[in-house]
Amino acid sequence: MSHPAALDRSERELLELLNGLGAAWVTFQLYPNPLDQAPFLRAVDLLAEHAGDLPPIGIGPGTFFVGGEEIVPEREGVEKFARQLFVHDVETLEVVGDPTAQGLAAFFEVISRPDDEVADAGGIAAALVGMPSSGLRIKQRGLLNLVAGDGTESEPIDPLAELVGELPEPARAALHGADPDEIAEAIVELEDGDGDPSAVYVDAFHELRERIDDARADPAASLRAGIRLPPEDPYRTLRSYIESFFHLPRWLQVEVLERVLAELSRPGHQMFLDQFSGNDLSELLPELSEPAQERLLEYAVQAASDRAGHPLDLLAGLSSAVEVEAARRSVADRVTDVLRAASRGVFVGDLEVLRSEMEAEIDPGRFELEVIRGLFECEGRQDRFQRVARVWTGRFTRHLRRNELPQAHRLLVGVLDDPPFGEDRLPVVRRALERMTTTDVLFRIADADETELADEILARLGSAAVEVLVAKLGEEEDAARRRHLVEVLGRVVRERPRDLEGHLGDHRWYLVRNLVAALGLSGTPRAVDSVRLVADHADHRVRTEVLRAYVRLDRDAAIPALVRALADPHERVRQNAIGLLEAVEAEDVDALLVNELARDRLPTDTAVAVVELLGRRGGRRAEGCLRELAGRRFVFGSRRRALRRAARAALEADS
Amino acid sequence: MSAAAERQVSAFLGGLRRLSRQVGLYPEGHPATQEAVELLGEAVQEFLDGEPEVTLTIFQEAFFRNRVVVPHASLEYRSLLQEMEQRGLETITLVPPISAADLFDLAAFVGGVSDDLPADGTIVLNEPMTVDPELDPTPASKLRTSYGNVLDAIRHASSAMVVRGSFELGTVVDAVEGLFEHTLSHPGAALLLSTVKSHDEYTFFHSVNVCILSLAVGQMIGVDRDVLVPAGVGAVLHDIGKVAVSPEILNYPGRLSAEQWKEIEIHPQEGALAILAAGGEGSEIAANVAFEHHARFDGEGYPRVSRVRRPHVYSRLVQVVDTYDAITSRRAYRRAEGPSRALQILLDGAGSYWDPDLVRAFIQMMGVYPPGSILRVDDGAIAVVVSRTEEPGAPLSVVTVVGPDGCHLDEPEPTILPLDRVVRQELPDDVGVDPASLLETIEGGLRV
Ligand SMILES: [Fe+2]
Repeated sequence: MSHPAALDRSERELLELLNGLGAAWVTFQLYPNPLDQAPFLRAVDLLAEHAGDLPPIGIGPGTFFVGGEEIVPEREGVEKFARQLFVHDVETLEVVGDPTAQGLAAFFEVISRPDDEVADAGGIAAALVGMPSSGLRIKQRGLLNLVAGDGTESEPIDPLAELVGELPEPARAALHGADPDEIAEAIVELEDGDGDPSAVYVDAFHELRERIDDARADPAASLRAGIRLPPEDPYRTLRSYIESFFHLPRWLQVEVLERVLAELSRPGHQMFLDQFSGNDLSELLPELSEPAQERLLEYAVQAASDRAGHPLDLLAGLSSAVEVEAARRSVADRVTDVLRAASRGVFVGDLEVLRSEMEAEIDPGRFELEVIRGLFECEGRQDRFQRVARVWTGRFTRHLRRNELPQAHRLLVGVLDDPPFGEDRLPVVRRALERMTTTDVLFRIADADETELADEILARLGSAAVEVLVAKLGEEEDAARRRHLVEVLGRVVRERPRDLEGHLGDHRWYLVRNLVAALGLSGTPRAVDSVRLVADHADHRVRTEVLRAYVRLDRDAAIPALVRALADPHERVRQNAIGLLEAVEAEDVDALLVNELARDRLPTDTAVAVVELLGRRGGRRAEGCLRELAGRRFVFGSRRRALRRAARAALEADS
Repeated sequence: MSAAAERQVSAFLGGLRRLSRQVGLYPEGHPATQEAVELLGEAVQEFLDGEPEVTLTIFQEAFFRNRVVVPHASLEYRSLLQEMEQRGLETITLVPPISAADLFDLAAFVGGVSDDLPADGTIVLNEPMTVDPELDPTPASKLRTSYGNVLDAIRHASSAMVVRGSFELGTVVDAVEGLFEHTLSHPGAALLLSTVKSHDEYTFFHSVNVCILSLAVGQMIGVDRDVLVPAGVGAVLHDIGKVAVSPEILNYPGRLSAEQWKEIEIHPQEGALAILAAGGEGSEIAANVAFEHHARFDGEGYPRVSRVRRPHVYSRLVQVVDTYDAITSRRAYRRAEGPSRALQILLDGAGSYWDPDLVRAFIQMMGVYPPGSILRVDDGAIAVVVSRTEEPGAPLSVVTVVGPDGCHLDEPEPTILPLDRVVRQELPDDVGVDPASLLETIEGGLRV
């Protein structure tokens, strides 16, 4: 109990503030507009004046506490204020500065609400969130009570609060983020009777570590308890705590280490050691007791086998502290040896090798392909594999835009011809290629100067390119662009003409005609089979195109088809067949034509055209045939006469 | 400038940066903002260190606390510095007790949220009396500025990678070329600077250090500069894939489980993928370095792929210096080791982990006590090595930073130290010395 006469300055200030707050609290309750009242404004002034220079004020049922001492209120209003705070589970009150009258009024308003209403809404701390600044900060007690719904028994989960009992003030401050040296100072300043400092140090380490683990497991609860762990580095506090070890006096370091080593399997102890550098431990080793030395060296062997290497590998394989000293000395010796050898020029040759390797011509494209292949190979995650595929196609198109076809070619072919990924990944890669393949990209490839490389690329884009080009062909209105599309399509299907077969049944005759034209342009004899599928297409324009395609793809195989087309119901087809036959020089064409005439089933105009054609061809067989036709004395009907006329004309022109 | 002073300034700038971001997001009086104001208030106390008035000056791309340059913080809070310069800030004078409202106004002003200046008079901006030319005569060196540019480039690349999944390679290349310019002309100073570490941004600083060290090795080997630029870009970006690894794992303080390792091991492939996606000249080589930087010399390592060849020489180079800088840095799971211990680890792994020729070349370049080594002298003083020694056993060129009485010297004293007077190597955190902060002193001295 404090007596007014014995009060020191800070206690007087505290009383003054509490009295002021009590008066303002009463004012708030009595006046409809308290903000204009002198006591209220006075309280705001007091809060501003004492900002930051008063310790947290504990709340009891009708009293206040500071540093374990009870501050007995001198006025009734103060007592009521304390009681009301207590009702709302306020544990401490802190004057933090920046008060506003509105803020204080809002604070009082919340405090004046019924306690169960506030509790139901998430507690006093939650109710104050978002309010204007009152200059006061509260800490809420036993937050779990609200969740658990039982009385006052449940434990507070604030690790800082719990550590309060075990650590002196500076250590507590340190846990709020102070420097390691301050933590160490707090430990060293432990007074007699506060316990063995090394025990306090180790216990506090465990306390802290466990609380951080708790907080990570349940961040919401920890937030309610006032613990803010930086999400990106929740262990920062623990690290600075361990760092404080290095600010302890040597004897205390040794004692702490003895404790840690005595229970090396206890959770956290290895983590504690892992924070040290090899140097740290090797320096402390000689001062440890023999059993502790043994345990440390044992742990060193175990830890050094860790895949990441370990600081303790300095100690691994050694059996005593004496050897450690020698090992440390040999470190410097070995480095010096290297330097001596260097100064004698021993490594000049090695350096020369390195230099020429570094200055060797670099082929960026090779690296690009190797890295992409490596990424495809090692990426096990589905979504990231997709990303690899996208970056790959992205780089491919970037090369195209820069007219770097050889690089683009290497990147694409280098992956597709020897895939670094399993079969199951192929659909993902296909999809990426499909997404990349636009007419623009295809034109860029097709128009490149390096036609051979371009064709190789187009062939590998295969079905993706086919779909794009066919779709485009179906809608392109500009004749020149359409022609371009057909040409590119022809190159795309060069390797796999059957890719187009699926589209040959399309209902649009003009599309089918273009596809046939593309097949013709592909130049690969295998395409004939695909062309043949539409040889009897209902539209004569398609049938005409089929003839052209035949001639382009396989001249010999085309002849019978051309001859057959002479009997086509459509005149244009027949005319085209004649035209195409004219260009065919094979001997047997004459025989086929002669036979056809002999069978006498061609329409008259076509038969006449064939006679004229035979005349122009002028071979031995043709001539015989013409003479036979021309020499007929009696012919009946206009058709026969027309043929004889044509044959005679042809023979005349010939001679 | 002592490590403690650097910490004070960093605390203040860190708090200010946090709050200036906060005020853009939340209104005044919001709990999040209030909390940031409180934290900044605490940092300000540390920054003031009991003095009645302290001025922070922003001048020539550096921060000065009461006219003394604060090199490390200038580097670490470079983007904040640039923001302040853009806002026309030259000085910030703090007159305690600092009001919370003024802190808020300051942050809002720096963050570009408001043009209102602090009104309570506890924080004064661009006070005419304090803007005078008598600053520390050694402003941040060009080398440090170029270091900062690379740092910025990698920061931007990383955040772009997080946000968009890709980044611009061009800015990184430009920054690396700038750094090369200054490293080649002052290799010793560059090595000294490469000892700069950051706990909060370990990966970024580490990346720039790896770049400097790689270049220094290349230079010692006698390789043409143009050849080294792509290697340097690879060095800077080698760990960029770490943005894909959960920070909780990267910052885990103990040995990792197999599961956690699996996640760490994706960073080479994620990095390579990001660099390839970024495209641009040199992206292939940089991607290859990122992809291979954990592929061991003997064919082990990760990621596991059917390799037709040994890792490329750039990758092997980065592996060596990556290891060195990592071992000599304090990381989440291990305290820093001294330079000579790091060299020994490299020697132990030469031929299995690392290319033995490159390990020897690296050691040859660094020497027993590379620039930045902190040495305990036989009389109890502490000295920092500031330049390379070509001959083994030759005396060292050092500056004494802590006297035999244990007191930090106001002016570091250059001396020549015979090797036999060296008792042992110390670590920066253990003795409160930041070797990199001596850069300006050394360069200033060299000019005289
Ligand atoms: Fe890495």
